[in-house]
Amino acid sequence: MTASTTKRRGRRTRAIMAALALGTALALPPPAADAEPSGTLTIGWQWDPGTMDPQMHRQRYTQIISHAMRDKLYYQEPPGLALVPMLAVSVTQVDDTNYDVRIREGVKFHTGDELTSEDLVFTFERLWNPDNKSPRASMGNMTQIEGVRALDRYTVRWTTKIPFGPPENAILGFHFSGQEILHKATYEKLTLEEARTAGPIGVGPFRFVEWLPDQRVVMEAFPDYWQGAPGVERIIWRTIPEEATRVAELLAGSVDMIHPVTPDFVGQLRAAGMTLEIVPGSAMRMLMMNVREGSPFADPEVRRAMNMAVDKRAITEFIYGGLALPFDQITGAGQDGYIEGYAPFSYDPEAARAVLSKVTKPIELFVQEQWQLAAEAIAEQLRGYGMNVITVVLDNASFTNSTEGGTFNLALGGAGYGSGDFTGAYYNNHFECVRMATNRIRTGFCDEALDARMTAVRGEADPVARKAMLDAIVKDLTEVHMPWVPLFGEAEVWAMQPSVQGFRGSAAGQMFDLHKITLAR
Amino acid sequence: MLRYILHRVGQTLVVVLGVTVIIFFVLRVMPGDPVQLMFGEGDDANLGESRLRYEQQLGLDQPLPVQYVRFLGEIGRGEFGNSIVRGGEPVIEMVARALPITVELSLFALFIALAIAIPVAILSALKQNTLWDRGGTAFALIGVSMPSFWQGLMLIVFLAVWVPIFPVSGVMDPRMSIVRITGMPLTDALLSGNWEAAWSVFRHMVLPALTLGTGISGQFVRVLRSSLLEVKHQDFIDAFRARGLGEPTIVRHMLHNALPTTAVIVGMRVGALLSGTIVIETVFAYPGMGLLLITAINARDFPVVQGVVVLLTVLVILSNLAADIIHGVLDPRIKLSGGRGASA
Repeated sequence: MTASTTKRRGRRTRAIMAALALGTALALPPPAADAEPSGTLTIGWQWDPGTMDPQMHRQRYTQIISHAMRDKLYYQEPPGLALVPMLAVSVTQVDDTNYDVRIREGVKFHTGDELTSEDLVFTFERLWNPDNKSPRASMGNMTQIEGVRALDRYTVRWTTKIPFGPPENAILGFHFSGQEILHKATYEKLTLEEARTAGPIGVGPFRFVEWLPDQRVVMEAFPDYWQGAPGVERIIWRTIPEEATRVAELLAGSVDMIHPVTPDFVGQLRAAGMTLEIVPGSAMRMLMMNVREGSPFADPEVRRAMNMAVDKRAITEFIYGGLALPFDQITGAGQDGYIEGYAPFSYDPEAARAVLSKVTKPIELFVQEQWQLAAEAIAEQLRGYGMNVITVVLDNASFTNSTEGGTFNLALGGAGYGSGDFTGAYYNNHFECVRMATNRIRTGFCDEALDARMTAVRGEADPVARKAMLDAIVKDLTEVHMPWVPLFGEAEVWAMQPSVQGFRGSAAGQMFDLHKITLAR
Repeated sequence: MLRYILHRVGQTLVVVLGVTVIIFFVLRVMPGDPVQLMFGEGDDANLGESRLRYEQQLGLDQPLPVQYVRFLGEIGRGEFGNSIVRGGEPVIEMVARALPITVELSLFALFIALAIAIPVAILSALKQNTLWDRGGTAFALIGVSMPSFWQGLMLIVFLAVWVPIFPVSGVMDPRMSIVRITGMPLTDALLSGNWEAAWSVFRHMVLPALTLGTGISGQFVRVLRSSLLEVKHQDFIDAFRARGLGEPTIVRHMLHNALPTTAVIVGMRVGALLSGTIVIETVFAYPGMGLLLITAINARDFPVVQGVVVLLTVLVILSNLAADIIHGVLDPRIKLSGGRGASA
């Protein structure tokens, strides 16, 4: 793996603090005298972007295409989840509800215009305009933002309705890493329908050339990119939905890189001499237990035994061939709140058997097809303790419906943490009691005292105190309440021809820093 | 004839209305909804509220009868709503882009199917109960029973990776462009005189068309062989032989008499051809109606699924109607009339 789990732990917080403290001007390399871009990089991937408007979608793949042509204020520098400034130079807290964001000077759009604070203000006002019905408008904590206004050519003031805490917390709430900056002069003239198909104008490393829906997106190097001219002259993104076909394209030499790649094909690609970029991912797989009254898992002792019953290391080794990491706590490696070395439960079949052998009620283990093999292995292990467990494979929509509706016994589910945040994940992973009223609940677990402690974490300015508070919450969830059995996290895998150099995969599954790729022919 | 056509068009409207009811309510009964899938785990501080707000903006919080009437209104205006997942792209634009691609691929596949089926069926019928006949029957059986997904992947492995004669997937070389005239890539490349692109499109079309074509050719072989055998034992064929006519002439007469049944079967198989594209287009990354439909179903993109299914239904009904009419034209014994007791 290109980055070990331990190296990334806690990096996010430290990186933000350091970057902010130093004014961050040196966080990214200055423009350099580069060689001329050369060659065409053809990427075979699963998706079509669907739209060229970066504010009218919720898909990661659409954002990847957009980000190749438009930069943001912050981004997660590969391979980890650490947020580092991109177009932002600094974020300064003026008072409880006002933050000033300073942007880089001399950054050029593809039109040749300079990026100014007016472009930032336009971007976010367009995003929040209710007439535009953007599905991204409430990401992060943006519903609690009062507004933005330009203070000067390079400074913008964000005003919030409630305190967002210190800058390193506030930038998560502002969702700076999720919004590409638009060119005001271009987009203020476009209707939503026009913006959907219009060639994107941004300050990113590549310029738009062509989009043939469901076939390809073509972009070319922008020589005036503020971080220096890209290494390749052109990128072609080919939509190839079927993985076996993508692998065949790579083996036939008609594409240079493919993504995503599942463990089934890794051996074949390695044997064919392809280069693999493997990065620990940002999604945790877990066994969700329904803790409601009447469920076998309502008893904490049963949940504790479940945490000792599954040999997750055997699963990562034999089913995933090492392309997954076992998880032992309720936060994932690289995520805010992750506690280094914390593994309260070890695999203990005898201790598990003493409790689980008494659980005789038939139990269905819900799972989606792509994790069926792991679920079958877990079910077999549980049957070994005398439990009556069968796996039930559901499609994505049915699975989500069952788990969110709370109509399940046991489910092999997932939780992404691509933003690196835990406070948001706490709510979105269905722990917070308020979710019980929204009919979108999973395990049925909630604890109001824990919710109050989580609220306190959100407002805590002292990073050391915040870390201690968060650690205590993670420990309580992992070993006291135990609504989940943390299982493993799969790696993000890219496969490419040996001629592709300089690519670094991202734990969030993103494809950032494409301008650093070169082709050795 | 006109009365018959009007009668069938009336029936078509009833069927289409039934299909709108079924597809609309089945989609809503299926677990999961587009907003739920689209927002996923989300990065929102309050994901539940975000989803609720977006559902309200899309009108998905309205009672189902209200949503259904709105859907019917859109169809009545010749619209099919906008995609929820693809940034509000009009469904009619998506269909206009995908349908010509599928039509061209299907026609090519049909050509391949007939090019295989006719000689095999003739050989089987003429040399009944010989090794040739058994070979033809076995081919038909394999064609009908072989999973197209597996067949497609095998063709890719053998003819695109191991012996790279054809490209693996896609419509054409990604460095080429074609001026859009009809939306059918090969036709457009030929019409615009872009021979290099035409050759590239042709090469890209061979493997998916072969997969699709061999699948249905098995069915054609079985039907055509049976029809030919039926004709072969009729008196007029014996009379032709007695008059000393050559075998090619006799075969031509046999085909002339067997074709009406085959024409009907070809027309009836258009539905199978279109459903076959769902798998084939996914395997070969061919951006037609099949790929559009499967992508939309997976994302629960209601307007797209509804629009595509309704349009495909109309297409299948029209092709069946065309098959009936052609049958009537080819076989003078068939009379087409509308209303009660109509026969076709």
